[in-house]
Amino acid sequence: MIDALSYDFMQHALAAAVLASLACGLMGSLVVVNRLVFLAGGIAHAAYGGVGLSFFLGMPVIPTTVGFTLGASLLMGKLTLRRTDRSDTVVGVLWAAGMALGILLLDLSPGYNVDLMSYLFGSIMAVPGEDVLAMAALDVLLLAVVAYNYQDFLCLSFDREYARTAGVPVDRLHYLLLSLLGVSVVMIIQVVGLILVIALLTIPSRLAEYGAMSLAGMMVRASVYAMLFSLAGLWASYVLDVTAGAAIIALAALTFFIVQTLGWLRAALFRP
Amino acid sequence: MSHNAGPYAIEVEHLTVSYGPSPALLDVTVRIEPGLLAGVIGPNGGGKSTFIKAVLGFVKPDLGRVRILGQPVEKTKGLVAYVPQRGAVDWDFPITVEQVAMMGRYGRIPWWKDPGRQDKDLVHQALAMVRMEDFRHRQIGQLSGGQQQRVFMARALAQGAEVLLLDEPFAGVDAATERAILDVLSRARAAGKTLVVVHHDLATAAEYFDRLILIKQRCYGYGPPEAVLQEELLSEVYEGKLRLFGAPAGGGA
Repeated sequence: MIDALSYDFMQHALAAAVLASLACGLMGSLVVVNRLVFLAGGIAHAAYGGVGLSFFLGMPVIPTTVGFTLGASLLMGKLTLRRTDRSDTVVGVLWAAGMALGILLLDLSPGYNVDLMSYLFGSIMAVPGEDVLAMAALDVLLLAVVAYNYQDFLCLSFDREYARTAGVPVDRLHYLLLSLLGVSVVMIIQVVGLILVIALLTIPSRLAEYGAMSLAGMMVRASVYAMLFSLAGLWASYVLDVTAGAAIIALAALTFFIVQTLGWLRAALFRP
Repeated sequence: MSHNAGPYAIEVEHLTVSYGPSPALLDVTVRIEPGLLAGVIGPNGGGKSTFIKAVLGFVKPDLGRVRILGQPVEKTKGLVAYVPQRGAVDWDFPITVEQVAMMGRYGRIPWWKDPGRQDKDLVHQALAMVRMEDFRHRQIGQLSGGQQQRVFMARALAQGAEVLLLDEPFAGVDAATERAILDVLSRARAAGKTLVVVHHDLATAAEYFDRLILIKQRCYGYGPPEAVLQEELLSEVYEGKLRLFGAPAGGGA
């Protein structure tokens, strides 16, 4: 493992994993307590439309995808703000439509034969240095915005109706949260890919929620857990020569199932 | 803070609210004096919760108006507070009793400031009033049902609310807990607060409340319990499904 660290690609991979974990801990905690997991899935898959668009128009991938995903996030935010009228179904439609648009645009892009697998499972072993810097900048942005709005996010997440009476700008925060989520999703896709982005947003955060006494505490713990899973998954992928993104999620999911099972067992054995 | 209190804590005039083609509330007019503990009673689906939500401004009325302490509800930020039903709260949420009560201060703390000494004092006073001081560092999921209700009352009190609206605080709690909640409601009333409580148990309504509001789409009565709990009024509202006052309302069959 130590000799592996001398490779540039491995250093970039480690940096990308740590930076993505920070974003996952912050945004994942908000996703879990606000029950936005399905919406996050919709945004992550709609993001693929942005990837297709960037290749079709010959534009830079990250800015185009971020822009497209922001648009998709705000649209889904508008449709789900009141949580009525089958809004979850509409999210499902946008989920599939964004993905299909991406594939069709890639098919129609001349001269590009893009490896679909790298977007599904990520390409953490091939993260360029400038992407690492971009992710660091995004982390700073996320930290600043969440810290600045922490009280309001706490109020919104815990009790939306109360937040309204307390004068918290609920609608504006809802859109802000989904915009941040959209940006984060594009960033995390770089590391673990499209399919697995949900796992890194949900698993560390749910594990962090057990025993956490504050939302901020949950965010810190979720970031640490995500880092541990990412670093251990990278190590496993190097040793076993398997796909890094899938290894990270397999480790996280295994931990999640063990913790859940222990919880059920304890409840079954020690409660009358 | 000064506000034009006026003679009424809550003034509801010709309130009409509809979710679909038929109105949930129709032409409801009620004026509640300050410093009272008022119960909202009526059959399930009769519009009790809608009434509370309309008073809070959560649902927009088709017609009519609501005034809190003489002002339109949008302008009374902080003076009116909502204590939600137990089922509406996420009990896994990583938050302590003290943090929930401190949430009552958030509307008044600018974003660049941490809660100050005055905010902390108000939170502690509120927790003391609902007798939850000793639990302030507990995560809210570790509390009993009655304790959880009291935490949300503390949040409303810390906010400095003069008017508190509670949605079924006695639902699903045992008799001792019901007493403890009632005790806290009485203490808040003694401190000059106006409390409006959605309640479903007619047997205890007369004992608990100073005023009753009987609602089934329309307001069938507002006044002291003995004026509202009239057999003919109740049998009209509950359509003979009520067996409380001696003889069955519908006769032998």
